[in-house]
Amino acid sequence: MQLDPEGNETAVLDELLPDIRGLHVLEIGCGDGRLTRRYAARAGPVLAIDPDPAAIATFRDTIPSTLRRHVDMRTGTIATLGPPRRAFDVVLFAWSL
Amino acid sequence: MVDALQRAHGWLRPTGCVLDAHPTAEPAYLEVQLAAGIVAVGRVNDIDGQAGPSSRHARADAALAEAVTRGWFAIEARAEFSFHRHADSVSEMRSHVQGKWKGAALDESALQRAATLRGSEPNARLWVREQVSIARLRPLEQPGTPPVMS
Repeated sequence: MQLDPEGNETAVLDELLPDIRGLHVLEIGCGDGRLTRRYAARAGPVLAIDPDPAAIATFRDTIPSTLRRHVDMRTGTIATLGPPRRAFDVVLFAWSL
Repeated sequence: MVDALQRAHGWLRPTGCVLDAHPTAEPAYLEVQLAAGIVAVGRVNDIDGQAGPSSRHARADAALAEAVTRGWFAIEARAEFSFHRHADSVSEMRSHVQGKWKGAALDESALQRAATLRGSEPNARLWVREQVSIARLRPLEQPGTPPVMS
């Protein structure tokens, strides 16, 4: 399967968030990191979470080495992250609301 | 879902934003691209009233609306785009929908029609197209509303 090879999703994300450079991102429902890979290189630190441990394992196994430094992927939900603190510039619900 | 948005508010810096992307209420269509144009051969149907995509997407819309009504966020921008899932074969598409889409299925008749069209044109492309809505939400001052756990 090829998902969004046209890049429509990335184009609209860029339109709504033109400058993501250096921003701290919390991505909810990252799955195997399909979308994370498309923006993370331009963002600051990314915390990507998903309730599915298999998806997170796939993400961990397949993430490009260039992104490993600043993408932290974890199994969980926004409810299990602990007490909220104002730490992020962007909270991204990736098809997960 | 509303609870998730309230928690997101708590994780955001005051200058931050939420981006939410989820499919619209429009059904997802199975389409075949031929030399003469794109043919819609069927759609992804809900087979579970509660877990199907239509219900999930409606709940997401309602959660966003409630978060705005409660004064947690203001919607700054909205956009829509088409999201395509391309398959190399009808069987690959069938497996994908069966494995990845909760509470939904493609009609076998639609898959058969897609197979027939692809048989007539070797270069025909096969995809499922969803319309996706994306919104950017700006957090407002903490309204002091008691937490709502859904």
